[in-house]
Amino acid sequence: MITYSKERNLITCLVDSSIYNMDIIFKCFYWYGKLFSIEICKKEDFVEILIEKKEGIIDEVMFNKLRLKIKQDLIDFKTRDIVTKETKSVRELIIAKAFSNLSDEEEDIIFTSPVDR
Amino acid sequence: MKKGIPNKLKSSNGYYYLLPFRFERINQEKEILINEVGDYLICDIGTASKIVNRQIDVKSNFFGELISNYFISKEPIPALLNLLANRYRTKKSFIDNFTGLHIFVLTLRCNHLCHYCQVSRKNEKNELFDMQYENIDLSINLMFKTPSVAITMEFQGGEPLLVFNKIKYSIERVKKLNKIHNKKINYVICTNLTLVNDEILTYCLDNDILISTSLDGPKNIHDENRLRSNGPSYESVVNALNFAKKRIPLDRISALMTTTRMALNHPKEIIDSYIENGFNHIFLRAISPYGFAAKNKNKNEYETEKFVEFFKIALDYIIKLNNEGVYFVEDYTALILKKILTPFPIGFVDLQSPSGLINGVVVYNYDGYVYASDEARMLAESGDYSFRLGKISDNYNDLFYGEKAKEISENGSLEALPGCSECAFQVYCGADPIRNYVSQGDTVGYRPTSNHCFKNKSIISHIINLINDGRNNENEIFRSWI
Repeated sequence: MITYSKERNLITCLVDSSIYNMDIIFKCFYWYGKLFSIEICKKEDFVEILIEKKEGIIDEVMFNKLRLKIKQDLIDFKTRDIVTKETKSVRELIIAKAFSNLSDEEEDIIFTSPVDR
Repeated sequence: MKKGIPNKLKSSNGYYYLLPFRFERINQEKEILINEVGDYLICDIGTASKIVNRQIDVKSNFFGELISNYFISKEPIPALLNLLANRYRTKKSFIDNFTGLHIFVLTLRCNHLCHYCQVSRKNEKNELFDMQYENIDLSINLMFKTPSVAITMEFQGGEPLLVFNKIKYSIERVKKLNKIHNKKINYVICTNLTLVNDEILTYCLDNDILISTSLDGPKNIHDENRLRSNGPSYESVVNALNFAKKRIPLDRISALMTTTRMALNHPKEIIDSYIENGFNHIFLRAISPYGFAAKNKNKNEYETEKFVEFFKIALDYIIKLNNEGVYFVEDYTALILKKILTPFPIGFVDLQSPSGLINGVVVYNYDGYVYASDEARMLAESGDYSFRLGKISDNYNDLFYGEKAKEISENGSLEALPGCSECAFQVYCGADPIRNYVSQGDTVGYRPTSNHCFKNKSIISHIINLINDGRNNENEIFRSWI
């Protein structure tokens, strides 16, 4: 849920922590730090994010744009988080193999395309 | 459900596993998926989410594309893992070579008075700012200790031709010692050209020395930026250039421009001036916040957005020229294209991860110290020695692998930096800890306000959009540049 208080010049996001973990939330709101001051508070089953503009006010138009952007960014960072976590082992294997001493035979397969195999 | 395969991995009519990749929106309709080795696919927005949520039809052509481009796999550990590892190793093979670029600052004296001088040049008469012969010898000894088989020995300044005798001394010593070391050595002299004469050019020709000079564009722009103590320098530079071209093949002479606030309004005139002077390439280079450039803000400070606009207009113009039959290359674009379109790494230290500091470049400075990069010695002239590795007389291992080198390298990998670790353009970009330190106060940096990040993201994204669009033969033109 994303709400806006004109009086306090503040946007408040309540994010379900069973859907979006803290990694996702931190990585997502990191990018808002140029224009906004961000405060992240962990509550029982949700996370509260307070977004305050560093300079100037948040008007209705800006709020509506931000609301859409935040929703989309959360989904994008959730997607990135899934890829990062699901592929962690494969990525580690690729890097380990890349920097290990391979045999000559293994070295020979460089740049072979799947159709050549 | 197949036994042993988690439900979440099941797609509409089959199974697949994710391989490491990153994604980013590149315009209102498209996003780019880029895998660990730099292969990319441009797709409709939402595709990454569909892949992750197993909504890709395994019978579709797109599924085949994802498999063959290493974005997904039918097995938990892909059968071609070794191939992917080899591709990764090739992308990072610049690490194996270690330091390839060895910059020798034989003097900080200069006969120019450029307002943007990033090295903080000294008066041309003051010989206190020359490197001692003993330190030249020790620097050469250090250079030969690098494991790199191919070395570039680059003479910078100040104006290095003020000490041509020391350049000659250095090269002759290197040639003698290389009979034992047997390395492939390229020589570069970075000079404003105004001191060249027949003797110097003959020596350059005989020793296959590359000349790198500075040309900021047409006369009015060049003279606004680059003055000699006795007046404007454009005429003398162009005369020297024409003189040099008669002695040395043009492909052994290159020029660099620096984008000042004034230059931002004249991209086409700058490119035209390069063509008029016989060059077929240009490096559109933003100003760096070091030395006098940082002090003379009224002429040199501008928003990075304005540089990006300048860059886009210039690139459009260059593409137009190519379409009209004029072969002309923008060098920064060509470097990025090589990272996007080929499996190979590039030698350009600003676009590497781990960063090119020490890994790719070191500076042996006139003051008797070794620095982690050209920017590191620029910073030292402002009294900040944070990136000084030690004395030229120190032991090689202590300098190149010591505590200071480790400290400097700590924040030099995009893979481990906040904001970069999940950036789709990571594999095409580079880490710049010194720029972070200078502009943001620490070597980690802060990407939301980083000019380096904004510039590279904008330019890479623009190049990818041009490749994807291709309406002005960009694909054909770009491939001819790499």
